[in-house]
Amino acid sequence: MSALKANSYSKSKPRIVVQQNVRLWNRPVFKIGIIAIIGMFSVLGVNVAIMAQTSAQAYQLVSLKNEKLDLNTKADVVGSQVSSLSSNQNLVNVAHALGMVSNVNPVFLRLSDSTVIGEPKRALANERTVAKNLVPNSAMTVDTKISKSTGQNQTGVLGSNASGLAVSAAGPDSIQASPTN
Amino acid sequence: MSLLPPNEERRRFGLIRVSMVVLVTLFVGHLSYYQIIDAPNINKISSDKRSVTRVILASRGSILDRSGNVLARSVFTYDVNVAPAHVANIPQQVNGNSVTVTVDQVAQEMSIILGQTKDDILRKMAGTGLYANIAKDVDATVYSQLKALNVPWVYFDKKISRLYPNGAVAGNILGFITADGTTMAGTERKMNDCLAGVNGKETFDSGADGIRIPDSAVTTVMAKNGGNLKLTLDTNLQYFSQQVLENAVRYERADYGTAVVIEVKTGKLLVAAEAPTVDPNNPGAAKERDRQSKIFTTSYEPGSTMKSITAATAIDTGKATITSKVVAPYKLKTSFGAWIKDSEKHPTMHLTLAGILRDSSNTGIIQIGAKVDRSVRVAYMKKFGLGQATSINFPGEASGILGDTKNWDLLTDKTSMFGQGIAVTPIQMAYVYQAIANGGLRLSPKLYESCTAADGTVTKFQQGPSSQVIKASTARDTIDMLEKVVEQGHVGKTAAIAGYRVAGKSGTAQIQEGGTYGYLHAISFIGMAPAEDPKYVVAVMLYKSRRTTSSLGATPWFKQIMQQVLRTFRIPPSTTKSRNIPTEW
Repeated sequence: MSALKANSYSKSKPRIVVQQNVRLWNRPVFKIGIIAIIGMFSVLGVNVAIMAQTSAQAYQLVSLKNEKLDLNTKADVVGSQVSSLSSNQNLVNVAHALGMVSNVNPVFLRLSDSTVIGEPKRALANERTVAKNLVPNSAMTVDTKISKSTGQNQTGVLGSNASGLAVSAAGPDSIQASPTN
Repeated sequence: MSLLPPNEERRRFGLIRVSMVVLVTLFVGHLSYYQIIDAPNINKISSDKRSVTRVILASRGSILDRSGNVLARSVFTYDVNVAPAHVANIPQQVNGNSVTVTVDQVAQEMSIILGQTKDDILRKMAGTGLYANIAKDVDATVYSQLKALNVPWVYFDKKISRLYPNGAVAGNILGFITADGTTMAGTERKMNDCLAGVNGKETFDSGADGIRIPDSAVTTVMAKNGGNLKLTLDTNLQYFSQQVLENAVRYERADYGTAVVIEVKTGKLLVAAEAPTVDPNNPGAAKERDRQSKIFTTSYEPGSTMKSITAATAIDTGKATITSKVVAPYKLKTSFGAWIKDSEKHPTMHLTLAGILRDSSNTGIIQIGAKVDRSVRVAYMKKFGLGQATSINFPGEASGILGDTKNWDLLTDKTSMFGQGIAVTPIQMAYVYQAIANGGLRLSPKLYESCTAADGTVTKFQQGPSSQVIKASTARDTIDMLEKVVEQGHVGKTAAIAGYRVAGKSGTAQIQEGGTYGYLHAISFIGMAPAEDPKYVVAVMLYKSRRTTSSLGATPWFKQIMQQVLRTFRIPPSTTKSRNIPTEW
């Protein structure tokens, strides 16, 4: 302890040291500060960019959800039209319009002895058979319209068919339907 | 004037220190109050302003027929509302030009889409409130058209509704639900546990523009959709049968009609048709009586279709055979002095039991039935399923009326043998013939096949208990006798189908009203085909038929439906002949 003291006393007179001319930007503290500031602004910039991107995507998400809702609505509309067109009532109306009558006198041919079973009779739409649709359906929003084609090559909405009748579907969006659906 | 003299610096600094301490204490206290004590409340107010809760609608399951055809499904519908306080002309850009769409023009456009008058819509829009309903339950098509108008003060409430694509096809069985989702009748009510879904909800923070704040906490309770219910019904046959029945009811000017088709070997109900019936899309259009399933809920006196039970009981107990002989006059005086008569006058006939069924002789059947004790006859009726609701337990199902069988009066004891004085439901009577057609094995009616949950889990429904009601040999004898009804009977012959062996029985029952029998009848025909190995039973009944008051009015419709059934299931024509049974002696 005393030695140290003695030493300190001996150096109590300041020594003159020649300082190198160190530029400000070469000082380590300055460099660290600059790096820290750049880093901070970089992080801030990235953060702002991410926030902007996220916000934009939030709006895009809402837009896509709305689009999905619209598509679901369209699917509902088309689904309802398909239901309507494929309902028993529409099919029977179309069949009747095409002149189809249920034959209540079927005849069978027994192949083993070539016997004709039953008496062939012409199918007629009379009061004892069902001549038109009698079962109500208030869900029928679209029905298949039948119109007679005027020429062999005339094509309806769906094209000509074997019977020479053109079949088209009429409705809010006029979707097409097959007469055999 | 200074508060403290300039030389008292120590006191001045002390005062400032105290003031600072008080000020800081006040700030800290207030901050603590907001940050700690009142923090939950403030958080809640803040959260309430930011957070939005939306209901995630769960859809109700579909009802399908045996082939998967959709009989009922859920669809979105919309209530159309406006905020009258915000109703104003709308500035719009059309082809780059600024135009103003007037309220009157908007109302005009809406009236065309909604099918209402413009004045009606304008009247509904009037006022200063924030809510006025313009239309309820519009479908997606109308919604799309209205939305395309792009009117800022028109808004929509989305709801889930029910669509029955085939209208009144099986409407009586499907039932219906109200606009608020309450199940009101039929299968919708009975099978609600399978069909109903559970709504979910989603809570998140949103900004002033309603857009969800990114990274905000989201609480989601997922919606659970309802399951799909599969029935045993065949939509196409059901439709055909309803067509036939509707035609029959109109032609015969009957109050109503029912038709049931059963698959004999499985007990599955393929058709449960009624006319008139209800279109579940619009139940309000049907009379209250027609909104239910009369097949299950109404009872009627069956008449002569009951004779098959009496005959089968006598044979099964060894009290008679198909060739048992009786002398059957037009009318017969009982031991207690009452007269039992046949429906039409005829000379005294010498009939076998087969002949009794062929001619539907009341005087003949009571002589055969009298050989069996009443308690035994009643026991057989119950074994055949009479006097009790079926295991389907359809909403509002009736059990029929056998009455206090131990205390039947002497007349009821006799008339019950030919189906008067007791009452049955159409479904009960059809399954009596299912048992006969199935070698005496009665199967419980089956209407519900399975429920498929939203996660794909399939639950098959167990059929009710089955029981051997009569011996197989008795069932065969009964079928053979019923075949003679169709081959030779006055009424039965009109039910014959070329190429097929058909067995069946007609019924013409008087209807009791106000304690007396009127002149109108419940006419019916129940039959099976092909008789050599019955696969299907068809039961047709017309209530209060006014054109034809005998069962002759029921056979043409039975024939049409049975023919369609045989055609649908591609049953080949019979290749054997009926058993040779004497009907007279």
